[in-house]
Amino acid sequence: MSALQELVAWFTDPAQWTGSSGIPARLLQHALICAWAMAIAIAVALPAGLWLGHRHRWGTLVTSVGNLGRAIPTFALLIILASWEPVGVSDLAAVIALAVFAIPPILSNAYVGVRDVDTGATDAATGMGMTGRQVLWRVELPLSVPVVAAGIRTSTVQVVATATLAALVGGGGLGRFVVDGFGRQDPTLMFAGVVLVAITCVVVELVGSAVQRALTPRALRGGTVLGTF
Amino acid sequence: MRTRRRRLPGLAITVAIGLTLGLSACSSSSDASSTSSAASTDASAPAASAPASSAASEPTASEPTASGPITIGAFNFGESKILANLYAAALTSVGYEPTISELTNREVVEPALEKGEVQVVPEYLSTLAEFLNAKANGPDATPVASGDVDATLTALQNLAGPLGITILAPSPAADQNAFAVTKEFATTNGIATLSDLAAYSQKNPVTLGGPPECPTRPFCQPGLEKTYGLKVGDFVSLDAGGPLTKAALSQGKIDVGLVFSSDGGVAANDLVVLTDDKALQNADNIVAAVNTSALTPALESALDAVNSALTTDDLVQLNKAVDVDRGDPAAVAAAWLAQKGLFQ
Repeated sequence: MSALQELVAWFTDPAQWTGSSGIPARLLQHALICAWAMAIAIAVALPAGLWLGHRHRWGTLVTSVGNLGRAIPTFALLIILASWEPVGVSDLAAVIALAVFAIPPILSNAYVGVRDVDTGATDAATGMGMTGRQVLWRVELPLSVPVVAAGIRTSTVQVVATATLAALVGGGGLGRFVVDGFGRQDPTLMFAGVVLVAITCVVVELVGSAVQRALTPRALRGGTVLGTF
Repeated sequence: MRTRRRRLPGLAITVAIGLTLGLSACSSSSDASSTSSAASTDASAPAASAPASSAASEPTASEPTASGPITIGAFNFGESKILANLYAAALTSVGYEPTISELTNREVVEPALEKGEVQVVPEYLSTLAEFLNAKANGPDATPVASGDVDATLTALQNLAGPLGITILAPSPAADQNAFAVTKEFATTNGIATLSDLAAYSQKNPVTLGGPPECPTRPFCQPGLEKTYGLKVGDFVSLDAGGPLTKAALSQGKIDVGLVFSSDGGVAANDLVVLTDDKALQNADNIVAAVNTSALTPALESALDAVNSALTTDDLVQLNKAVDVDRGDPAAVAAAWLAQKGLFQ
């Protein structure tokens, strides 16, 4: 049987679709790890990026944090957290490591998106008597949605792909298939994991694009807006 | 709408390229690794062939008193280097001039021993037996190694003899799969053996930690369940006796974890190895494998003196001195021999 046929046979085996190590259970674990990591990253990076962009300040800080965040090897951080007693070997180690990994694109895009809003628009808003907060919420934020959302979308896709690392420290998720497949010298299991992760990432990317489009004010939808990454 | 239509094929192409690259990278990397290992085997053979010719022409094998150069082959991990140094000290004491050749894995070391490129290798009883079994009878050959030292030794000698390799008497010291718990867990629940743990697990199913392949390997979870009747509540996939397993034990995330019996890091982490009282694991005792043409009575008695004095506890301490305390293998070996009063 060819590798492809074995892969198809694996996916069509009903045993893979039930139980605590089946595809639905692993997908749910994967989604939960990613959701927690993204929730933490968004809660930290989004307000900070928006506010600093609004104030046009500390651009160097945002760039530094962004670059530093990208320079930290997620796998190394994961092992350190897993070996560290308060966190330990668990999904929590993966959630924290992934949150750190997810922060830079969100922070940079939120900062750049708000900072680069046309000063004509913000000056006009200020001239109409809006307070700083009103300018941020009613003018800068709607105008910067494409860039800010692109940061979150990029970050989400990266996190979904990288959450496979959780399996290396005893966690669950789709990485289980890859790590177990490697350990058991079962290439079919490993490739099934790779295919599942790739499909999940594409689906998340498509959903993210749709959400981003829905959030973008109608007047801005014409142009192609890509993230800075 | 126009932009949307333009972007979707773009995305599809990106994904397609990504998948293609990913898949081709995987397949090419496996090709590369297989060719590189083959290349290293080939490369090591001519490189080590110089001492072989000198050994073949050497007259010492026929003389009753031993002398002259001899090469000890070691694997590429700490324990093997320590053992090679112990053997080197023993052989020096009876008149040899040993050199240690640090080779890589068994795929390289065993052929080198067979050809006489190295004359002595510190080996592992069951691992070598199964390696030679697979070499002689194919990868699906009936296993010949077991928890029985004598039976495994006989099987190994039968496989090694025709290849010109003599296996000397096994040491009591063994480096094999073992299962560890924390000292606290062992004391609180009065557990010293795997049978004790199995009895405890009937009411409190244990959380087992080990490498990802543990749930499918006969010497791991299935063996524990079948041989001991251990009740495993949950399995946590970690590493093969590495830092994660030890960390998870110390953190209480798992009750019992797979380690190696001679690992110096086990005692350092306040862990205890449970006795394998039903001999689930293959007997991987240390044995000296010698190229038969280099065998002399002096060589045999010198190596037997080291092997018979060495215990698994000694091996744990020696490994700890090298792997945890970063000692030099030669110095650590010399200190142990002095402590045992051997070859002084």
